[in-house]
Amino acid sequence: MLFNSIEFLIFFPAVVIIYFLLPHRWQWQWLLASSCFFFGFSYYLYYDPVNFPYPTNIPWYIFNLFSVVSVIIINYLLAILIEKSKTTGSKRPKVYLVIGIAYPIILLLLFKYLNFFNQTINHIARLLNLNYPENILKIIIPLGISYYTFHIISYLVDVYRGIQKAERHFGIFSLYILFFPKIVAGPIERAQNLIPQFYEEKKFDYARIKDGLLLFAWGLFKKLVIADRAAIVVNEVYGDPYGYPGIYLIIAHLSFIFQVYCDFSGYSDMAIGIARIMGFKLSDNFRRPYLSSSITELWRRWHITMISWFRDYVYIPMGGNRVAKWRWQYNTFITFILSGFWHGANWTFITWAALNALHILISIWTAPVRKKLMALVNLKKFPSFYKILTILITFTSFTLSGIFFRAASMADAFYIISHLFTGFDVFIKTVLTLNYDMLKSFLVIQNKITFLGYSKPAFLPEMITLALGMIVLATIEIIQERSNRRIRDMIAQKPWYIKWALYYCLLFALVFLGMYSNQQFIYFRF
Amino acid sequence: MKKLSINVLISILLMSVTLTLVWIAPGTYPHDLAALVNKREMLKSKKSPRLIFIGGSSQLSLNSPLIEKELNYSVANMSLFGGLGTMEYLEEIKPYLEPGDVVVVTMEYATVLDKQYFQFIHTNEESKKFFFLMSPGRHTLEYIKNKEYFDLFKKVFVLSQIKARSYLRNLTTGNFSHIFDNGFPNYNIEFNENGDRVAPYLIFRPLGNRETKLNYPEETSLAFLNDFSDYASSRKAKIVFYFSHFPKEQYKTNEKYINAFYDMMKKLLKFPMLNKPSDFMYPEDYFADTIYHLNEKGEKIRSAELIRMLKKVL
Repeated sequence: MLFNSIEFLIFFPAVVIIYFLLPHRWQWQWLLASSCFFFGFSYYLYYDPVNFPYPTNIPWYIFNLFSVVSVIIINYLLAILIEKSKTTGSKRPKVYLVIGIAYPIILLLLFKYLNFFNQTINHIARLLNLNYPENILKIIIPLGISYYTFHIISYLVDVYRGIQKAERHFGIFSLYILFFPKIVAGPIERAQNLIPQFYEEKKFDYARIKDGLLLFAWGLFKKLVIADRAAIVVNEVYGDPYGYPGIYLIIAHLSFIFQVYCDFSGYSDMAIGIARIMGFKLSDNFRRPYLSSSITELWRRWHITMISWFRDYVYIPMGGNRVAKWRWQYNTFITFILSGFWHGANWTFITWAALNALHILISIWTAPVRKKLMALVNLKKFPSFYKILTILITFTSFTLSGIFFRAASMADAFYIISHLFTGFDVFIKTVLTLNYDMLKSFLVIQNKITFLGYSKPAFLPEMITLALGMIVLATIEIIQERSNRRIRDMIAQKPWYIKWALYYCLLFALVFLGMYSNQQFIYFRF
Repeated sequence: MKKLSINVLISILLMSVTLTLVWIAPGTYPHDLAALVNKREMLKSKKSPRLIFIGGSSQLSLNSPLIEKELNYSVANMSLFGGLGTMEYLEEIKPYLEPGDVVVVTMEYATVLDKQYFQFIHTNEESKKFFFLMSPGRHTLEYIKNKEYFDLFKKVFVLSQIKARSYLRNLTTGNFSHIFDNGFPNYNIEFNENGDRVAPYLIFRPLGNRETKLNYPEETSLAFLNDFSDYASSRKAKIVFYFSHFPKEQYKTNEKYINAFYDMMKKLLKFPMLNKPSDFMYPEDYFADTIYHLNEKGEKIRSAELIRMLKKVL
């Protein structure tokens, strides 16, 4: 169920109203029931009658249900066993931990990566002139599997490390995994942050609900006004990049960079806002990443809960930075490759992650040279200029690697990269000769009925709306970055008429400028 | 709880008032089909007796000023897009029919002989949206009568969204003098005063839609033409039909279906037909970008032949 759907508009108020009317002892039960309904109904909504016709695929649906339920039950029991055996001093906790981690990972590999391995073996076999039958399975991937697998692993490891007590209440533990604001696409919450909140009594609090509603509306703005509008251009060009001159490849890719940020950070804002309305505090997932002045900083501000998960459960156990220099760089590289692999079973994601890792390593290797260079040109005298320059370099590097993230295949990605500047020679000639007929040939797109996915009359209004949306987003993010305060808190201090004028603008944008095409969230597929 | 409810109610009220204002206020709709609104106004402005052309984009390139001059009738070319549906089109022009008017109908072959396209036409939400805009009052009453309140709200809402984005575009580009224009924003540039397309279609080879596969027609699907003829007679107007142009090659491939269509129309129609399908079979060099659109050379010939045929029945 999408947060921006009619179904959710009915589901959520009903859940919230009943939730606040119920006595405390029944609230968790209601939340669990609602989360199960949300999960099940999402299956119903995403039902794919073409690839997975009912009832032929009943075993897949049952297997999906079994995988979620079994992961919850097995890990609930294993955590208790780990805790108990640790108190007795036996060596079994490690065995339980390994089983507990291996089981959801095997399921994840089976559902998400089996076809990828199959295809890769097939490619290698073909290269070696061997006969390998490529049987691509049509698999129904359980909703949110990448996310709940990470929840389970972090929970078990924390119990093993003694940071988290094994949860004895099976209902609360199930709710921790299935809690509907975060089940489909995070944030990836640690048990020590979320589980205690299920025990607290949540009362109706106007200020908190208003805060949650505003955050939800802001997330909706990012999704409906920016991400879904940019998606049309992106899908059109990335769907078949071969017919487009370089200028359109650049426009489409820049649109994608804003789309992916607004889509995922918008989703996270909505999830956090929904939880906040009900009295829960979920972790922040994005902190204005495009205003980062280094790639390391960007990765501390982008998908924070996933990156911190990789840091705590992959990078640090591998030794982190408290090892030899080469090993530290290896750890960084491997952690990034795994995060790329987490996004999807495709070489494009792995390449994207590798490029980002490489950028981090290059920035480490070149740090002394850059420092010297900076001193040489005396850039420190112009701190604002230096800051803008570093932000631009970081953004450009992240943007370029993003081509691999979005392209459907490696071939498409290489084509796009090698054709980014196709036709610019004509553009330069046009500027020099002031021959505007030449400019037409530079801008023309052959054999297309639409203009970058929009009908020709709709293109300009939609692009202006997109540009205005981006300007609003950038302005708010820059204000927040400079003042280090939330925009909601700043607005709260304004007189009522300014507050209402701003609320009105936000509502107007959502109602009249939103794209109500039910475009799925990008990070749902991970 | 009370404060929250009041604030939510105020927000809903504000948006409802804004929606009403945007809906009522004049404004443009940056969508090709919004030209229907301009064409309605153009039809209303033409003095009777009128020749009212109904068809798809194949008829958009017509030379209406020449027809007007030769036949001494005011010409309103209402054609826009074949996918709009002739039945729905005729329903829309009914209120504007006047004594002496002659409605000239043509249907692109795919709209009758391609089952998939036929289904698309009658389920096409975009067409419904802009037909709604053509006569909102009548459609609103229909929706209310059928208790389709949500669909009614959806139409008004989506159309208002398009208009709001158009305001935004005009405000941003400093196009202040055109903020409250009506219908399609580029109508005056793209269409002449008779509703013909001003610029010729671009030339593309190979022709688009050349793989169109036709089939046998279904008689029941065209009974509405006779109903309209009866209605027109009651208003002292009349209707004539002509078979659209088609490239020779595609005609040969689909000859049996086109002939079956012709035979069916001969039996079915209670009003005059101007031609046989073979009369408008043209070589490929008369066509522009698709098998439906004529280039300037083809149009010159089609318009002249149409004038000759119309002279016989008027």
